[in-house]
Amino acid sequence: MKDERWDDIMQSVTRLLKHKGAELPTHGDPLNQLQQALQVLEEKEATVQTILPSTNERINAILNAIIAIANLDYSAVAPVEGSGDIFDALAGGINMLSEELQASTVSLREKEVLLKEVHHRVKNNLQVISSLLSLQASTINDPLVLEKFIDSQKRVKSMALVHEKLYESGDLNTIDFKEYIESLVESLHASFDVRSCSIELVLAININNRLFNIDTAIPCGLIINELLANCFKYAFEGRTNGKLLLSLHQEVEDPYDYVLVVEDDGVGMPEHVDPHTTETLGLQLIYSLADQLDGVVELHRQPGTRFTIKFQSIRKGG
Amino acid sequence: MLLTPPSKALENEVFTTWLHESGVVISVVKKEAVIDLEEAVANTYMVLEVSEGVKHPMLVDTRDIKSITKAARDHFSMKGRDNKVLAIALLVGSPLSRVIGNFFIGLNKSTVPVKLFNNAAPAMRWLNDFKEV
Repeated sequence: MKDERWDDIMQSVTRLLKHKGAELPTHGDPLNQLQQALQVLEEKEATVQTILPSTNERINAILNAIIAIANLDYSAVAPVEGSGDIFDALAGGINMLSEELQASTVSLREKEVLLKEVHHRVKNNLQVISSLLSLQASTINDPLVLEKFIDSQKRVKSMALVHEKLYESGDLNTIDFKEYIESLVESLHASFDVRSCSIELVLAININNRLFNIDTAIPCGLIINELLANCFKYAFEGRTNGKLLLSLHQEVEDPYDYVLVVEDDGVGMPEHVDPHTTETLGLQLIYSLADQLDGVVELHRQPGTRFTIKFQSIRKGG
Repeated sequence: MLLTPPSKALENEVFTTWLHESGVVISVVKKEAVIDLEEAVANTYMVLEVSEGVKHPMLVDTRDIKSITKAARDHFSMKGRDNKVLAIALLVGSPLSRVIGNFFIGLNKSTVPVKLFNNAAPAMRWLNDFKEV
């Protein structure tokens, strides 16, 4: 019975030693073996206690480097101590990853700067074109030709405004379309001589997603430009006051995303003008640009004029 | 034996480089070596010198490496410059040298074939297929 209990103890000690990477001493009697085994276990434990603090320090240093990299701070370096162990491998790998990520991030920033510069230059070039048209217009005496020049100048300006908003935007890909409409309306209103008529201008923009990409913003901006220009030019002729409403809201009916309405209480579009066959460039543009947005145009005449355009936002790659 | 440098081997602070009689250029990274672009370029000149204008496959013993910078890795990837070697066998051993080797293959992507080996003999056999006849 005593021997069996002894065997159990020795088996347990053997298992414990094996777990610590050691073996039961083979020399001496069982008591002596047990003493040696306990001494080995004590030494192992002392080694662990010595190594543990430095191991914790290395793990912390590696974790700190990982957290710094996650915060896009590439100055942190995980220490490689030259011990050739797994911690050195981890630290070395993290340092190399940091270098590669830093290079990629710089490259991305360079692209952002470049894109901003492109939008800025496009806007400047469009402004130059607008100025050239204006200069050319100053030499024209024929009022009909002059009007066409001024109309073209306004179209170019509305496109330049999109690029201006783009390089001012955070992501350089989308613009806040509510802000854009407000700027466009202000600019257009100021450009027409409507002093003889007091126009009450109402903007009702109620859209959850105000961010439009350039493929949607340019045609949509040009449509608004044409509709408002028509109103300012023709709707209130011979009137001392009038009301102009521009609304943009989200559409719930598929397949359209938005509904743009430009409505006035003016004299109304003459019945004989058929927007599908007219040679007026402005009306042709409205239908053609709505088509670009996979949209439809509805026209209601009398009282006043109401254009309703339902359209989709253009998704790149779609 | 294979990786014992001959007396005519070229040497600097981080590399020992020579042309083995089998026609393979061997470069051994010294213990605790920290390789930056300067050392990488120096190694390229050493390889050129021992190669005497002829392209050879190359064995690089990285087992004792301590670190290598991105600039040096990019240089060794040989992108945008004339290849001076036909293929590279990287000898790895320590966990760190394995990580560096895998990084070099996975991210820096050399323009010549690269493979990792644990031993020199199979590496030399693999490189043998790339020798120019």
